[in-house]
Parts: sequence; structure tokens; C-alpha cells
Amino acid sequence: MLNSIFTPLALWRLAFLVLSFCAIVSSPASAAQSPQASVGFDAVSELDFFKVESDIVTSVSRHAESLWGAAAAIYVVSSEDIADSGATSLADALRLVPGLNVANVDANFAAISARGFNGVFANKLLVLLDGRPFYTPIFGGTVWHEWNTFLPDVDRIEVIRGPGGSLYGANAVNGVINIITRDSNDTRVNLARVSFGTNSAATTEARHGGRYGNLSYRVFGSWSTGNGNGGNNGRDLADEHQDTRAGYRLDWDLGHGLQLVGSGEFHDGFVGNIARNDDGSPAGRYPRYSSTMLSSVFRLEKDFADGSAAYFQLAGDTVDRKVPFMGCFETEKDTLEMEVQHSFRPHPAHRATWGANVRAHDVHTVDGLVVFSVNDRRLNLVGGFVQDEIDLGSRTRLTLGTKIENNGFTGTNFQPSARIVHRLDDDRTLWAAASRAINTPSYSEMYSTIPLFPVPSGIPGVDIFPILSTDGNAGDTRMVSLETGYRHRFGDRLALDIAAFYNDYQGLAGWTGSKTLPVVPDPLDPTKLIAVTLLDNDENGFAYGGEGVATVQINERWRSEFNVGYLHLRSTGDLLGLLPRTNLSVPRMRWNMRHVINVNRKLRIVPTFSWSDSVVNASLVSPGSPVRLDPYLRVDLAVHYKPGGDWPDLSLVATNLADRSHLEFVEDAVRPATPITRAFYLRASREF
Amino acid sequence: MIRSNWNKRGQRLALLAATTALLMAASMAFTVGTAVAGVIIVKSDDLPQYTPPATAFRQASKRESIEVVLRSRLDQGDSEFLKQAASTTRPSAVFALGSRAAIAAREAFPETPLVFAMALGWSRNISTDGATTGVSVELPTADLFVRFKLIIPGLHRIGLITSDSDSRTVDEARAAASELGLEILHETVRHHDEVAGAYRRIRSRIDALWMVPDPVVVTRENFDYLSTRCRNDGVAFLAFSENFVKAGALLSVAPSYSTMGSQAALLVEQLITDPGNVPPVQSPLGAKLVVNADTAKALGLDLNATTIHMADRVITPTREGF
Repeated sequence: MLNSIFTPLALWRLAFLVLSFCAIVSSPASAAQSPQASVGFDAVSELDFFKVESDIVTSVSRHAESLWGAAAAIYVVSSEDIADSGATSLADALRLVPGLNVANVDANFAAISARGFNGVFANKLLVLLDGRPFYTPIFGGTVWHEWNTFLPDVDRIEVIRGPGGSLYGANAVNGVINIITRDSNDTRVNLARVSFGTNSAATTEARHGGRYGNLSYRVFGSWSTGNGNGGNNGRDLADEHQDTRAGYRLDWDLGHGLQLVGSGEFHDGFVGNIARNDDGSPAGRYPRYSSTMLSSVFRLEKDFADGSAAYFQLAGDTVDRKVPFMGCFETEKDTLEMEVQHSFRPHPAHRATWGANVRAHDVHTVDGLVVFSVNDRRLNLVGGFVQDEIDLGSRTRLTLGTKIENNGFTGTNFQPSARIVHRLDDDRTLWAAASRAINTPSYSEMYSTIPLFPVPSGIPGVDIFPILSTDGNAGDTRMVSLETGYRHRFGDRLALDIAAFYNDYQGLAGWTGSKTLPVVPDPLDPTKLIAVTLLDNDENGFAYGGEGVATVQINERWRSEFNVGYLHLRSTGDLLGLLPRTNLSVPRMRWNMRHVINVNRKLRIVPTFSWSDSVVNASLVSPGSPVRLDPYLRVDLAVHYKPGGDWPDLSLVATNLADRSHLEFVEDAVRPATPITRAFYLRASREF
Repeated sequence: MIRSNWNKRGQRLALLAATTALLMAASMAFTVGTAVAGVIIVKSDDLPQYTPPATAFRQASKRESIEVVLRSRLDQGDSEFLKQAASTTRPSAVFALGSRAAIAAREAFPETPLVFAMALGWSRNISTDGATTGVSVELPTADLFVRFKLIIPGLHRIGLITSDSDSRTVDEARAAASELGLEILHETVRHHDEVAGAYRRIRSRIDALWMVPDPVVVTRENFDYLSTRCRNDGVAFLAFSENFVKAGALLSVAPSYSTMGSQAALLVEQLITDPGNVPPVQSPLGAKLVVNADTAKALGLDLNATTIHMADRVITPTREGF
């Protein structure tokens, strides 16, 4: 009896409730009792002002300062962080984020998710670039290598771990990644960058920025190629790539608070593609996976004299993707989206924001091994949200909001949230949140059919060919999330940020076997039996865990950051019960430790240590016997040298110094994981 | 030998105990205010900015003083805390550092002469009824603008963002600007998160942005935003504190906090000796001009020898590198 009461989960829930209760009861009441409340707002903010004045030149956690009072588990990767890390892709840059599961499947494909459900087709994380979603409706996630934007112009990457559905809508279930590029006013300088590395990796990048009157602009282009992890022990891992990219951004100040922002990007490239044997094991090379993408967004922003602000945004993209996967599976997608948002203060203690958006995807597929029952369809989505940020005294803020969205598959859904943040004092902040988020079905979850590898039927000479199919009736995955967090600054040298969560999932999409059709002979080949299982929403699950970040300014030259994430994820089972039910494809524990050491004004050394716990996933080669990926330690080192004068800045980056190669992800249904090898590159960059 | 060591150790322990007792007694006397005090120095918080004026006050004043720091307490209000902390004292005057301290002191000791300093926009919070006067933080606007013009010869239009309660600053700025042929483009905000939008409304029409010590406007986030935007938009960012110049603003003309303490000591003496003659709130005497040469270079400003000579401090360009 006692054992059943004091399970880790029960204790975790209890701790969460206590923390949340403390946050809620302490907020308005203590603010009301505070003697400062009787003094008046100006006197309180006068003290804040003098604290700003004295702290303005300190450096610890500076980039996260504006987010110190956020009622969410939020982390910001700054442009300086990206440059320091030596990252060459968005995925690498995101390795710095606590609690985010980032794994390179091979040299090109990355599996990225927050708080579980990781995979190449992870679909519970919403990714935005300057406000436009990377979202592909085919599987409801992000094809990372297609959106590898020009990293030198990324201003910051804001990562929210946890649901963001009340603002962003469907699929912002376990997190939101918002990539914000720099204002073109800030890049009115030309840049040239070249790098060469092992495995024939080479990249050239260039940017030109300028200004005409109140219009500033930049254009950029890049070309990169590489053999990936090719040559590893003499094997052809078929993860080479070639990528051509070009883009622009313009910021036009039209006066009187009216501003037009436009940005766009073109990408064309291919990545290597690997074949499988009949038993599912990696075999050899397929024709390359190629993709072409063109996207653009225009946003008209207006700042009104009464302090309110509004914008209208028009975004569109077109993607053509050819995926030679046991036959050729092609997809095309055209997206057009309009969005409007307005924020204002109806009362000094309230900040209200409302918005609406309309999105249309035109999807076209060409069947390969994956067959679609519908090959052409327009998917419409209409949504709106409203949010009110309510100041409860000078130290507490309550945010209430909801998004209402209608999609062509499952109709209308609501995604409400309530968040409260309370400043215990100038150095301590406590927050808590309760949210509901929705994961709507993807195109594949509605219309696709995927044959699996045959299994023996027990009858000599006759195999059963399992087929995972869909009936067009997939439903929403619903999640209720409880979160809490605490931030504490200890003077100018140490800052802590910790968060804990409990997520409850209902109606996870999968093939649990509850919709299995009778086994029948294949009409084309009577020696084969076909077992069709339809996708259902009968899987449930829960997850709990926490993340923590400690930033330490050891001295003027040395800053360190240590972050750790723990996750326990359990579901009732998927894929006919063949998949592991606990922590499927995500590690229980991860930690990162990064040091930024300025040896002198010209030399900076940035070592990064990352450790990941073991990961389990289903094996395609032997279904029912999960494969296990051993824990690994990854050590990266970036050395940056700025000689000054007319000389270019130099960077030497080494990755995977701890071992010659290791796997970071287990077998995936589509991409066999390849060992990530030790690599080096040298980069020279010059602004002029 | 052993006994000798024990004796030495015993003596040391006794000395240590006596010293500790003495320190504790002194500390208690300091805390409860048993000393015969002429003036209570009340600090709104334990901020480093309050130390120079408090120290200068003590050096300039011949009177005994005790110091009380207000802190966030849930069990009692500021004035109650102040009364309790000074329960055995009959202050002849109070020197309050910050608006919070001034308000608490006026409530706790309504009949006692009060001199305040370090109170931003003091007229919004502090009433000068009775024997109350002080030293304002804000420098005379006309003096500031003259210095701005000397450093930035092409200066014509100055942007100014204030909270809606700060109309006095705007009126003074407009009056001073018209004398010098300058134009003020003013934007009002009600909340700190409206500052970025206010700046965007005027940025294409201004040569400089003047950041006044308005607590609603000046937050860490707003400073970072304005500092970056001004630099990249070619707008001179004019601040009021050396720290802001170190962090990227073009220049500051700031009062000396120490001098304000000395001024306050004179005012306290005047109020005690002649309570019926309450002098008006004074402007701070003296100001320090600090210029960031790195930012000046980014804006294309030529810092000539005269400018450098005029500045009390020039923050030199960062050397190339990290």
C-alpha cells in the first residue's frame, strides 16, 4: 500500500502541487502586504532604477535578463553563444539549450525535441523563423537541414520548453523554438567566411548589407558541401550533402512608428540516402534525397502613440522534396499564411493581446514505398488567440490566454493556459503554469500507408507483410501540462534557473493494434499474407522531469554554464506494443558544461562537454527486441583567434574529441543512424 | 610548557570573547539607536549609490548620526520599522536617501526637519509641506543641452521618452531647447514595455535620444534595446550616468552623488538652526561629463582635443579582439 502511495510519480506530483500552491498563494497576498506597495509605484521602481544603474555593466546572464521574469521555461541562445560554439548548423547551435534533446542521426539529419518524443519525424515541437513556421504538414515537424539558415545573421534563438499552444496554436505541444534574425540595420557591413574541414567539408558564406535612406537591407549566400561521416572505417555511410542557399532581409522605417520587415530564403540541395536490406539493415546507397525551398515573409508593424502595437504578416513558402526511399516518395507543399496581431493596455494593470491567422497548405504527394490514399489536398487552418497579462501588484503577473483553432482534419480545438510569475525579491523569481495543448494529425497520419519488413507466418514459404495504414480518421493528441520554475541570482557571479514539469498525454497517435484488419492473402501474390493495422489514438502517456541551468562568472575572463535535464516518459505502448514504453528514443538524463575562456583579448577558448544517458528504440531488424544506445560523452572545442587589423578572424573547431566516433541516435524507421565521427574544421572570416 | 600554552590560549580566548562582546554591544547600539543621535540617515535600500552621499553627509555635518536601512519586511510598514529602529532617539533632522526613505521618514517623524536626496522625480512622491527640502537628482536642463551641443555640433532634434507622469521634465526640456534652437520630439509611455515602440516612432526624425532618469523608462531591457538601436541607427544616445556610458551610451552628464550629500548637510544645518525658513529644493552642484569614444567613432563623431579636454572622463575605444 505504502509502496503504491510513495511511488516516484506520486512524490513528484505532490512536490509539484506544493510548489505551485506556494507560488500561487504567495503572489497576490504577499504583494498586497508588502510595505513597498504602500509607498507607490515610483518609489519601488526608483530602487529598481538604481539597481539597473549599478548592474548595467555586469555580464552574468545578461542575454537572459529580459526573460528573467518570464513564466515559462525559456532559454536564449545568443548570437555570441552561436559564434562561440563554432556551430555550423541550427541543430548544433541548439545543443546549448538545457532539456532539449538534440541528436545527430547522421551528418545531415537531426532529431530534436523537448521533453520527449524525439525522432527525425518529431512532431511536438514548433519551430519559427522570424515568425513563420518551419512546419511541414506531411509529418507535422521540421526537416532541419532544409532550414539551415545563415547563422551569422541569427540574432538569437528563444527556446520555450513546454507548451505554447495558447499563443502559437497546434503542435506547440512540448516546446517552441523561435529563431530571430538580426535587424538589417545591425548588419550593414559585408562579411566573407570560408571554412574547410575533415571529410572534405567546405563552406563559403558571404553577406552584403547596406542602407538607402530609411531602408536597410542585407543579402546573403552560402554554399557548402561535405562527405558527412563518410570514410568512417572505410564504409560508405551515404550522408554526404551539398547545400546552396541565398536570402535577404529588409527593414524599412516608414516613419511615425510604421515599419516594413521582409525576409526570405532560397535553398537547393541534396543529402545522401541509404538503402536497407530486406531485413531492414542498412545496405548501401540510394539516389540522393533532394529538396528545393523558397520562402518569404513580409510584416507591416505599427507602434501607436498610445503604446499599443499591431502587425500584419503575410508569409509563404514552397517546398519540393524528393525522397528516394525504396521507390521514390515525393512531396510538394505550398503554404500561404496571413496573420494579424494587436496588443494594447485597456487598463494600467492589463496588457491584452489578440491575434488571428489563416493558413492554407497545398500538399501534393507522389507515391513511393509510402503510399498516400489522397495525393492532392488543400489543408486550411483558421485560428485566433487572446491573452491578458495582469499585474497583481508590483511583483506578480498573471497571464491568462487561449487559442481557438479550426483545422481541416479534426475541427475546432481550444488551447488555454494560465501562468503566474512572482518576484520574491530582485534576485528571486518563482513561476508556475498550467496549459492545455493539442497535436493535430499530420497528412501522413491521415492518408499514408507504410509496408514493414516481412515476418515469418509459421507456414513454410509464406511470410506475413505487416502494413501500417490510416483510415483518415486520426484525432488530436491532447496534453495537459503543469510546470513550475525558480530563478535565483547570487550577486553578479552566479545565476540559477530551474524548472519542473508534469505532462499528461491522451490520444497519442500510433498503431497500438486496436484497429487491426483480418490477415488476408495478397491479391497480387498468394504466397504473401497481408496484415493491415490502422492508426488510432488509443495510446496515453505521461512525462515528468526537470531542467536546470547554472551560469557562473568565475572571473572577468572565464564564464561557465552547466545545464542538466531529467526526463521520465512513459506511454501505454505503440506500434503493436513492440516499442519500449519508457523513455522511447530519449535519454533520461543529459547534461552540458560549457566554458568561455578569454585567454587574452585575441584568443578565446570554448570547450563544451555533453553527456547523454542511454537511449532505447525499436529495432527494425528484430522487432520486439529494442536496441539500446550506450551513454556517450561528447567533447567539442572551439578556439577563436582575432588577430586584429586587416587580418581575418580565425576559428579552429574540433568535435567529438572524446572518441573516434559514436552513435547519437538509434535506428529510426526511415534513417539508419550513422556513427558521428571526430571532425575538425578551420574557418576564416572577415568583415569589411 | 603545556600550562604556558594553555595560559596563552586562555588569554587569546578571553581577548576574543571580550572583542566579540564589544562588537555585539556596538552593533546592538547601532541597530536600536541607543546612541544620542542628532540626525537619522535613512536609506531606501542597501544600494551602493547611497554610500557616497551618506559618507559625504557625515563628513560635512558636525552632528551625530545613525543610519537605518529600510528592507522588505512583511510584518510591518516602513514607517513603523523606522520608528522602532529609532525608538530611543529624538532626531533633530532626518536625511533620507531615496523616495521610499523620504516618505517613511515623513510618516514616522512628521514634525522633524527632513532633507532628501537621490529621489528621482521627487515632486511626484514627496510633499514639501512642513520642514522638508532636498537636493534633486536632475541637473538643470539648460546646462545639459549646452554640453550636448558642444559635443555634437550638428544636434538639432532630441528625442525624449518619459512616463506620462513626468510632464515637468518635458516642459523644462522644451523651454531650454527653444533657447538653444533645438527641437524636442517627445513620446509618452505608460509602461516600460512601450519604450521600444516609442523609440521606433521617432527614430527617423531625431539626431539624439536623451534618456532621463525616469524609472518607468529605464530598465535593463530598455537600455540594452535603446543602446543597440541608437548605435546602429546613427542616433546619439545621451545618458545621465557613467555606468550607462560604459555600457554603450555616447555620453552622460551626471551629478556627483557625494556633492549631493554635502549639499544635504548644509540644508540640514539650515533647517535645524532656522526651522521657519525652509529653503527650496536645490539642483545638484557640479556635474561630470563622460564620453564613450568607441560609440562616438561608430556614430562618426569627431572627438577633437577641446571635447576631450572638456570631458571629465573619456572611455577609450575597446581594443580589437574579444
